[in-house]
Amino acid sequence: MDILSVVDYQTVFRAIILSNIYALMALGLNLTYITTKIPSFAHGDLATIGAYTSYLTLAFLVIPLGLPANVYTTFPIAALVAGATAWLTYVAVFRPMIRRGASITSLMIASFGIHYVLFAIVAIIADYVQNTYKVLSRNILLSRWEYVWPGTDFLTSSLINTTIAVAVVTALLYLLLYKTRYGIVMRASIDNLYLARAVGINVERVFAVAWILIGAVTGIAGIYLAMFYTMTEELGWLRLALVFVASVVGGLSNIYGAVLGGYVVGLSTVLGAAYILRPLGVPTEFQLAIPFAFVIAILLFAPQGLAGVISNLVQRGRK
Amino acid sequence: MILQLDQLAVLVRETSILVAIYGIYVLSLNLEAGYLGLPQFGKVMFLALGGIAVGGIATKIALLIYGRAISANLGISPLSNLGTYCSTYQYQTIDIINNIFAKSPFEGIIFFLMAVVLAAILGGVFGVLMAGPALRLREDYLGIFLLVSAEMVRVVSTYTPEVACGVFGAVVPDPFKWLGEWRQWAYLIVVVLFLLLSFVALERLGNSPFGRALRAIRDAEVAARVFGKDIVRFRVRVLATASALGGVAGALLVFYNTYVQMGMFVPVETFKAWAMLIIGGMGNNVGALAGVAVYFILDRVLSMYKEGIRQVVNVDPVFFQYIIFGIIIILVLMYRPQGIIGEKPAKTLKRRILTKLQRGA
Repeated sequence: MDILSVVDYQTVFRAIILSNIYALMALGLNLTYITTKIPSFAHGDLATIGAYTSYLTLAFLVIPLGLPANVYTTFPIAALVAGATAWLTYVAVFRPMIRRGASITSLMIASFGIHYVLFAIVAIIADYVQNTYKVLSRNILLSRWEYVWPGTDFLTSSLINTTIAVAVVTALLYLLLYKTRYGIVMRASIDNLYLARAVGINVERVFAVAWILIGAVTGIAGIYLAMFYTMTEELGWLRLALVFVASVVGGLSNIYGAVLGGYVVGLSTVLGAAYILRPLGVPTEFQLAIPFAFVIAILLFAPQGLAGVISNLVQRGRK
Repeated sequence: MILQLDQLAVLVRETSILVAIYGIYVLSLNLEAGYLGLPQFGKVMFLALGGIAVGGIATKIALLIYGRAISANLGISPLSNLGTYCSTYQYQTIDIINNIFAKSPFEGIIFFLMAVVLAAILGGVFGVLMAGPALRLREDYLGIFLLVSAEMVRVVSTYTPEVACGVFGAVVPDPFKWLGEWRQWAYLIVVVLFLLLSFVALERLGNSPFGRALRAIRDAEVAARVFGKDIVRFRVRVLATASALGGVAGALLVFYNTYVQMGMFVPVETFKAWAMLIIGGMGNNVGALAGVAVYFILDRVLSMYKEGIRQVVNVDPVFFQYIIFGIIIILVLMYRPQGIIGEKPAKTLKRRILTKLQRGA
């Protein structure tokens, strides 16, 4: 009872919402890892692109046309633009480099080069829009356009919506991967690249499609991210370290580990700041240190991630 | 755009200082990444440790030593009340120390050397600490581990005001105050000396049996082990050396600015070094330096045309610079992965010269 009186619903809601967002971001990153074997440094920028596409569509299309001004009308286009960008990065940079047998380190550096390019393009568009059309393009929150369920406040609606988003995305991924022919092809390519190639699967085309998915999921995650952190060209980049943490904690090569990792990051940062750091009188800026410490411990003691640990335990239990 | 001669001299001087400091930084990264193949994505951590050593530790030692003069002049004792010192008295206090250094070159130089040695020790110790995970983790995981560790150092040191005055940033005494208006020129000589020293040391290291063993470990770890190379010891030594050098670079950078704010050590600083190394050529010290020079020259040339770009498109031109660097990095990785100056030719040439020299001696 004591704990319940201390816990306020706002903090808990915020924690769950951020967990959902990080879960979505990490889902995309894990797919990146599965297809190209690298954690991409340009991942955050896909989220930024999603957020900016949503905002600019709202500002230039949805609101002038008098359509219902909420972010969900912009989801398709945001997913499309971010997906197209992700596909382009794969086809133009990663695929040719993998063909040439580039090492993991050089692929990671290349992804950093992509980050520079994408980040700067977003910044240039933001500058251009601000200077030419006098439309505010930085330090905006998309939360104004979140769909609020009747009879609830923003936080509750956001909790419902982000949870639905995570559920829908994971369910769709599950259906795609396990219930369709294309999913079987994709899993085969992921599990055993050479065998898949040997039986005539065009692995690269499969991965290119996977990259569209990566971009779409991350772009949508970016829209949610921009509801809680002000939008700048650095929106995704600044949170990238935490997304990495979520991915690694969950397990990089497991799609559903991402959800787990997202929850570990979201809950530990927000709840840790509210219920551990604040009572101890530690500045809440230290909340970042909690997941960082978490991931350092995970990497040192269980590099396969929590999902790996759990599946090991389950297997041991079966025996 | 026509530059006045003295303006040009200043531009060249400031750029050269930065090239020299980043040269040391990138050379140390080259030892880890180029020679040993370590995905060192946490390099900025060692710049930050250099910053802590100078802004956090050495400055506090100076405050302790000159505490009497400070309390006589200002009536405060900075160390007993760091909070107010950081927010209000930093500039006045450091001015007093600077005045002392202005009169006594000896004390200034001792302070400088002490700070640099401290930075090297702190960097080296952390490097050895990082060696544990470096032996266990796979390439990608290790990259993330180092990146996150660097972020950890940044977050903790930025929000702990006791380290280096936290978000205020720490003002650092200027050990070369006694040189007056020649200070920057003298500092250029100092950093170039440091650069030459590290270059010669690393070049000798790279061409020695030690360096060849590193390359062997990078290219064929199992084979190196079969030949009896103790991989653990090599990695620990490399990390210690490179990290100590990184700390020195951090200390030199802080003394250049005579100010440090721990929040500035963001991951981009790591990737800047990687970009320079990739452009110049990995596994080649001359290449690494060429990369640094190319990076800064491009940076300065592009910033000269900034206003012109602004007149064409009304956006902040700095972002075009990012795009250009991003594209250069990607193109170099795709079409010339060995960089401007590749690894092999330079190495064999150097070794031949070395053997000739050895025979001569």
